[in-house]
Amino acid sequence: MYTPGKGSILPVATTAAALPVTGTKNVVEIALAVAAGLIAWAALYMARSRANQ
Amino acid sequence: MALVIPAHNEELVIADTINSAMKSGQTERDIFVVADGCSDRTVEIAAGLVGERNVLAQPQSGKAKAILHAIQHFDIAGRYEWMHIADADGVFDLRYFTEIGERLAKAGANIVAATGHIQSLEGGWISRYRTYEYTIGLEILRRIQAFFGVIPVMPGPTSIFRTRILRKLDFNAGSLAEDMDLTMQIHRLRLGRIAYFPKAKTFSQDPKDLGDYIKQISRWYRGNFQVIQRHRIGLRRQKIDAYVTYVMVEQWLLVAGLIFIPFWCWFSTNYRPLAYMFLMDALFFFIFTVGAAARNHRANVVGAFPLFYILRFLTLVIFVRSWFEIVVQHKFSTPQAGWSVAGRRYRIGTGTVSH
Repeated sequence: MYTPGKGSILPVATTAAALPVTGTKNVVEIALAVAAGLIAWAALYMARSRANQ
Repeated sequence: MALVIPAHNEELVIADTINSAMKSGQTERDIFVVADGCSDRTVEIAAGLVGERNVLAQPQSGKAKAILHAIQHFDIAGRYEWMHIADADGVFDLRYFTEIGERLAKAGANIVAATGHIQSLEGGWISRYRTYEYTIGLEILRRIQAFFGVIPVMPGPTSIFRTRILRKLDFNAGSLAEDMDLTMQIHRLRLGRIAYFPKAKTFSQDPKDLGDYIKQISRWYRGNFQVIQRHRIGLRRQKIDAYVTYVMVEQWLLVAGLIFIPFWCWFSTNYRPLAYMFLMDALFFFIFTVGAAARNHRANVVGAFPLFYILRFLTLVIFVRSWFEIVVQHKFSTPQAGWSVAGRRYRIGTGTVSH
């Protein structure tokens, strides 16, 4: 049975931490780079999983 | 302590469950199986392991009623002080029942129920995500819930009841989440405290693919909302009301944030808040994932990390959809006698359990 909201405390806490937005100009570029990295990582993982089947 | 295993067409897994219970300290004569509408070899396999006298076969009536019939048929309340309910698809850790026995022997009279720790069996990327979820949900949140006396659910694989409270519980609610319903009854009736035994580990099967995952989570969330409505949680002055309300508010804030913040960024053409939110989330999510992998000695949990975002997003969408179905549309209001295990079972092979 699922505990309601299990695991949701993490994104809420980080959202709250992100609210006082200041500073770095290129944070959007960093975020895009991280997102692209995660997508590439996911694609690699799936390709390896398929190869192992 | 009696171990009651409700089962519905579990021929692939029932032997592993019973054998692991016996290996971990539960005696054969104290294991009872109630086969609910089984059309496979479940009854034959169970009877071969625990004897025909300890197996009850009945027409399909749903999990909660199957448990009730087992309690009555085997006179569980008259013969035992404690009753353990366990799903038929799990595997108990080698010390599980020994640990439970030691902890219950020391439990005060105010402890009327207990639950152990669930660990995901080795499997694909969904099992790896579950390893993360169980580590956060049980290793951290469950301890906090136990401390404050607000455990909202004793999950199917590990629910323990003091038998003197059984006659006070209603097993006929017909909920999609019978385990949460029974737990809430303990809170509502103020029957006593629920203990958490983190060292009593049991291993649970996870969905094999995304379709099964969606079915399982949908059932859980629909059940959550049914129980919240049935027990009017949030409307009374009990600790459990405060806790579940907090969890629900937190979840809805997240939904609202995920809708509002991207829209606001687009409207103001300033994407920095969204970028910060994503980066902070990715950082903490990754740290917690590494922590979960280390805690469970499963390095492969980190390897599947990017795919976890798919499941987190799906879970949130299912949360909103289930709320709409139950609270707005009043769907699934008739008593449920079905089981949601069809197609989810697989034979537990060697090497899937890391004790």
